[in-house]
Amino acid sequence: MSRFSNGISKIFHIAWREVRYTALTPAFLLGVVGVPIAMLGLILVYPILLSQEARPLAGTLAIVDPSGRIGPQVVEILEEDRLGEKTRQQVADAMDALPVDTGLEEGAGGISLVPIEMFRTEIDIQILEVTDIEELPTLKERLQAGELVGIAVIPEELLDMSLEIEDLPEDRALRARHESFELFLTQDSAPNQTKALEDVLGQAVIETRAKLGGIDYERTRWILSWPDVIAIRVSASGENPENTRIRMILPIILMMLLWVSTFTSGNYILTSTIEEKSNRVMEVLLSAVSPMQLMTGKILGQSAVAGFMLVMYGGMALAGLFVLAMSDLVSMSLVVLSVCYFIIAYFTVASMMAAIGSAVSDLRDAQSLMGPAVLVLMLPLILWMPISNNPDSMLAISTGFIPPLLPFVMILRVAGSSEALPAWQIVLSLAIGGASMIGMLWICARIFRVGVLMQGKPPSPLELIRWMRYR
Amino acid sequence: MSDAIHVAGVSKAFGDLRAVDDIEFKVPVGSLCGFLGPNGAGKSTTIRMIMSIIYPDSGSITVLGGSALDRKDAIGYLPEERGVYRKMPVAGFISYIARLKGVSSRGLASRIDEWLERMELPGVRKKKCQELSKGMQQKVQFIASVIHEPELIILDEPFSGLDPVNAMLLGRTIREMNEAGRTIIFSTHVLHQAEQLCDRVLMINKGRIVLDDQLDTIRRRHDPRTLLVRTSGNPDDFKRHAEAIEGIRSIREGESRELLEISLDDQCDLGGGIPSRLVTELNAAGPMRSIEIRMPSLDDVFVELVGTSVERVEEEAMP
Repeated sequence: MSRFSNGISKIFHIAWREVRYTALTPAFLLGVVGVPIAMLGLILVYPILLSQEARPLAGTLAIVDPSGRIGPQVVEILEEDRLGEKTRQQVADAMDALPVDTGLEEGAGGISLVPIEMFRTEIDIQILEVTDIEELPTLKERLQAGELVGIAVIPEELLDMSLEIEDLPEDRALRARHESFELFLTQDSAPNQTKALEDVLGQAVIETRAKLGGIDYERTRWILSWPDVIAIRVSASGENPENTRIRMILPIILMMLLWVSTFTSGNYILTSTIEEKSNRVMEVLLSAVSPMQLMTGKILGQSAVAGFMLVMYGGMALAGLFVLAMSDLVSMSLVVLSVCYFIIAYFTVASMMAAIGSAVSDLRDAQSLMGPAVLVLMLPLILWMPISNNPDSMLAISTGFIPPLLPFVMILRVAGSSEALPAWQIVLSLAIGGASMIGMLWICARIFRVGVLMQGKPPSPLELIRWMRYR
Repeated sequence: MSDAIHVAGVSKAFGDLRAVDDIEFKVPVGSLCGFLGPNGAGKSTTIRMIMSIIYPDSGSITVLGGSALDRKDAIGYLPEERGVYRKMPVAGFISYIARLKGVSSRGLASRIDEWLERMELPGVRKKKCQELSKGMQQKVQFIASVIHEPELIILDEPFSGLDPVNAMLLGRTIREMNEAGRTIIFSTHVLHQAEQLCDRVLMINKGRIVLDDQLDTIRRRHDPRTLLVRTSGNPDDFKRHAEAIEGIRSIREGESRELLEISLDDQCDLGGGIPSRLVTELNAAGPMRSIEIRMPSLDDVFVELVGTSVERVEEEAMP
């Protein structure tokens, strides 16, 4: 075996050990593989569990209402299922606010992740209309005896449409009679049933008020409803509907994937290097391989671990997009650039962590050297919002050329920008990123080969510079 | 190539401390060399320089005809600081180091089993290293350092931390490997261990080589011209009569009253054994149970060369 292939073989063995004792351990498999699978399973099972019909509300509801208007209105609402329609509309509005297609609308493609049944309670009640408030004590006794599901006491003032808004009394107790009603319930009343009664009675009060005031309720509701905005971006290539929320979320998902995978693996390199030093196994290793081979093997091995995490989480995200028929959001160029920036980010962070791990003897000492590095690498998280809001700003463009922020910022820009970034910006960022990555590997390798044999107090920054110049 | 190691004019300083000071020595191929000296004498620093783990400030080192960096796979090294991957299985750890040393995977498992058996470590193959005692871990590490059947084996304090039984087992294994043609150099500060094993001795003190020769030659050169006589009669009578014999310089009591150490004049040559004239005259001085030449120990040699014992040097070096 030639010297070169022997060296490659040694690097491979070191890399494989890193993979074997990092990724193929029960803890790692549970955390990185098990948790996402469990989460996916939960996402699929959760709606099924929730779709089980809630405990229906059945029995007699007493409504003490001197005007005698609320009871018939409640019956009308229940017969026409207007409350169900309202709930459906509210759920649909809420789902529209999410950046994914939930398939709630009838005839829409995809999978319905949120069934409407989970938000509504089946109501099957008779109304006992009472106009005399004096009967309230008797009704309460019947409530306690389980003959009633609830008693609503509607004050006359609640339906008094003769007063102008400014004429409403200032006294809190008096004003409350214009703005609230009492609902007596049994001790074991379920929250969803209480909510159902509140909704149906509230709706009945609003509709009765509208009738008494001579207002067209449906028309007024339409007037007050906030219109949907369908934004369309017009460019030379045509018109594309704008999905602002996706534009905000996709870049941060990609950046976080990059950040988490590089930092997790970088951390593994840091701890395994410190472990080899503190276990005194380093000298045994260095009798078999050179410090450069050791560092290369460790970094390559952990790159496989980071890549595995990226594929695991990124693959899940992609699968999710396919299921929701939104795969067109991730273009091939975005995938290729993501891989390029992952390589730059990973090797920069990993070599930095290897150098720090080699220079110290335990994790506590590492914290002092980690501080400045982590501070710099936290910047992408701080810059996320301004860069996502305006991926073509001067801040975004300039930080996109500054290592080690570069890969994280460029991922945000590439995924978040409405237009393709100018080619020169991408080429220049890749060139700077590649050069800085090689420079960082060289610097860290110089520190690593000296640091691995050092024991005792952690080095000062000046000492680190001196280590770089050792022959 | 007649020398496995050739160290020429090597010096190494750590700050103000001159750990190794212009040392020069050779270790011939096939020798079993003890690298001796008190703690802090510069043994481990020299060994690390031989292994190219650290580099000398000046001088040159040749290992197996080149640099240790180029011949790593032909060298077995047991460092002074013991270390294993605590969570790795024993066989996995040995196999990992063997693969790094260029051993093919074919037949490696059976080779590991053979070595575990040879080092009396049955049933530990699948155990994690952290489950073993320190002594067992040390034996595992020894196996990892020789599993690739190296030409040159460098062992830094291989016996430290081992109980007498395991120290004997390790000594026996070292001797067998040497008999099989391996060149072995091992460091120790316990001189009598080296005395029992090695055929060549390198002695270092305060960073300087004070002795470098074959053990037999050293013994001859540092022959104290002393006889050990165990009397069966009255030791005082024997002493009084023997002191009058020509060639005897002095007589003093040994470890027991009956054991007498008889120091001879410089003219008296013990190279061909005890002169018959002397035996006859001593017999006349009184009844003897035994008579033998007292061989100089390496401790004696160290004292003669340095002027103080190893223990004293170590005590003085302690803060």
